[in-house]
Amino acid sequence: MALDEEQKPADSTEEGDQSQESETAPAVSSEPLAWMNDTLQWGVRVQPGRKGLTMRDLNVGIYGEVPESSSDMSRRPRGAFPVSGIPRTDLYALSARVDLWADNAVDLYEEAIQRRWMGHLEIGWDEITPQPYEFELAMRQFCTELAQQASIETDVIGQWLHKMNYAYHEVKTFLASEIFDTGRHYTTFRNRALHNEGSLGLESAGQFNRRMMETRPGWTEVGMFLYLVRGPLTLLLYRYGEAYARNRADKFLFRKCIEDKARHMAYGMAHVKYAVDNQPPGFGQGLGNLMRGVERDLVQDLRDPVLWEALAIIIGGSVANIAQGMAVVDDLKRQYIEDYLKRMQWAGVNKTEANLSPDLAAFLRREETAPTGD
Amino acid sequence: MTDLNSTALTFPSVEWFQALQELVNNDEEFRRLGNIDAVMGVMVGEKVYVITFEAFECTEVREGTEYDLIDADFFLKMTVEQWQDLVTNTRDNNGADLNHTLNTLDLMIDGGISDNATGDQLRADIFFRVNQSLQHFFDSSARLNTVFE
Repeated sequence: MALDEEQKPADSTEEGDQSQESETAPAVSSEPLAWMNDTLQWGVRVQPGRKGLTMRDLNVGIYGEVPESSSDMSRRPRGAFPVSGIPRTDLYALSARVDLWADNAVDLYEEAIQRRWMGHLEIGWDEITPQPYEFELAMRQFCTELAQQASIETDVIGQWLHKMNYAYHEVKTFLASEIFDTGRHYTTFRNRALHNEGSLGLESAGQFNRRMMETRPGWTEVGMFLYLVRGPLTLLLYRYGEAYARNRADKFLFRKCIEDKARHMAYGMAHVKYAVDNQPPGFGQGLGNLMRGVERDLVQDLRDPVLWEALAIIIGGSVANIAQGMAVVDDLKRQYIEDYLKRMQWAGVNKTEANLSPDLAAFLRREETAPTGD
Repeated sequence: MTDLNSTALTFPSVEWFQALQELVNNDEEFRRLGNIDAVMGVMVGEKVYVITFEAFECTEVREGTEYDLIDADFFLKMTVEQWQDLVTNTRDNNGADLNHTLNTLDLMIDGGISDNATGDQLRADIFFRVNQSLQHFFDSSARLNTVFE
């Protein structure tokens, strides 16, 4: 039935019908198969390399030309023949290269695809044997918070992805792969929390989650939050999860998440640096200034005890050894702030201990902080 | 595949790393982990080895100097004793045990074991981006008949 309706001649003046006319225009040309001559560039040849036929391999001729900006509001693949009269399909807010680009996105996409994994099959779930109850509770809490961090990331990227112009398909496809990764992280950590007759724990404090979700000025600002502020924390949590895992299955789970997270951050760092280098002078300073308020949210999250107590129990092995675990947690927090500063500076954002929120700077001086985790 | 267990190989040496190279290049599991593009320095005490990975293979192993670390994406640095402990532990447990994975050592050993010589964080992070492949690479040494200098 649908086919019959499509074959009917357009007899309406409604916009949707005009759209259908436009889309079919080349096919009803008086010249049979005239559309076969409509190409912007023909004869491009590419040989597959060691990794197969990759997106980078195909970036030749006009197909590899990445514009500084694009006014094309269709979903036309870059290099496809533009058809006159096609209505806009979106109003892309991010249509300038500087707003989303990173030179490494094209390779990171391939890395994401070629290093993909399947948590439900590749993790040796049977190897994860029951541990003492308090340890299990702590692990459930830890994994619940990691699942939440992953789902927030999915939503943050999702609400920006459709605003990105198709001229920059390297970035769009990479971010699509990241959404797939974070979906996998969400389900895998949720599975881990529920394993061994488990349960989910408390949701996280979430001040910084809200900040990421509600930031509007641009993707670069959100990217800075996601990849240079939250990213290093998530990466460290995965790394400590791997280091203190009690079986090889958990080791593998956390290692694969480490790989994914580091790849996500590679795009984010490269993009923020690209933006700082190519936006008007002062842009990097503006990003640094933006952090003043954001760091207050960060402090609140770092002071929320639930995640840190759970992690301290995992590290110490029991509630009885929580103080021993908390000393390691304090090290983690110090490492996190150092890492945050290092990555911001790498990207060209002027963030140093001197202009860091005093409350965050306190985490750098462990002996000056409260012994039980702030 | 060569029966590598029959030949005693000295750690550290180019021959030892070449044997690892041969193992992973004939290992479907290593390939399945995905592409890995990295130049990794390995510093065993004062000795330096440069290991290059391209696509799905380990393409080159050579002895180098400290100057080569400038061009490496990252390098792993431990004392001779710490490396011997890792290699022995890997052999005894058919792969690193829970306390000897690369990430664990990087967190537990003072100052970490992985670094980038020029402070390039993006390249230093490649250690994390391909961590499972690197773990598999070193875990494969359990199949070698290793002797120490």
